[in-house]
Amino acid sequence: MAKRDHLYLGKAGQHAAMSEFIARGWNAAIPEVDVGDDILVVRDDTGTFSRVQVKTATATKRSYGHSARFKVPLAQLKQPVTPKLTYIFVIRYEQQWTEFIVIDRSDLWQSYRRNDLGSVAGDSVLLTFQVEPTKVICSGIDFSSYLNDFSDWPVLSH
Amino acid sequence: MTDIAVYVGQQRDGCTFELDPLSRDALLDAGAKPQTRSLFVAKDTQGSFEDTWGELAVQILQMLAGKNVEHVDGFQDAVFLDPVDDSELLRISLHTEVLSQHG
Repeated sequence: MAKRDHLYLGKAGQHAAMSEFIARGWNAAIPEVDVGDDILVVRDDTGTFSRVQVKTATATKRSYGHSARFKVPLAQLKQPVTPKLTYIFVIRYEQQWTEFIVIDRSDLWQSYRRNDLGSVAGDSVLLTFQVEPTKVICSGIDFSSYLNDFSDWPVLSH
Repeated sequence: MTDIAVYVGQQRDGCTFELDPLSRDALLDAGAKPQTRSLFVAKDTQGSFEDTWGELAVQILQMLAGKNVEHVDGFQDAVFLDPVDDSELLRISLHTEVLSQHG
């Protein structure tokens, strides 16, 4: 990957996730100053909002399907916050968005603590998602239930 | 004897408290029933963490643990941690005589 490709990919992933919220009838905004939240998702009629952190990676072809690796800062992963933070791991494979893995920070932190999820690299944890035809695995743990799970943001009609 | 670890997210208008997952599991094993995923308490946060939260620490712990921690055996202290660097913000003993002082 060229020096600045990750900047373009990251911004594209952020907008891909954002478009999903908007298509579901939720409003979405990118904070002017990046201090942790990539997207603020707002329900217009009530004003309730969610924090979303987007991580994007290009997948590598594997014998079982494909895999993608993401880096998550540990300090952010273990930081409780209100309203809760949700991670969306966006996978791009063969020039298409193929998977959105949507998981609460709290769920991911619990899985990390209980199952030694991923591998620690400095102040971050590296998560490699293996995408197989019927499931998504990370460190032997099945993450399939988080695949495209936007159920916290049900489709709204206006 | 082990400690109960609580991570604290400090926000402008209060704090979000969350049991460390391993402490949550230990509490479950000890017969507690933690049912609260996390707890946000709105409060002016001027002054030190201990000054602001010391008197509420036991009540916060009980909300998170789902049980009066006096009645849960096997724990020495409860430690409130800053998730940024794991530094201790507050430590309280779970011995009954100390808990009564905390109210």
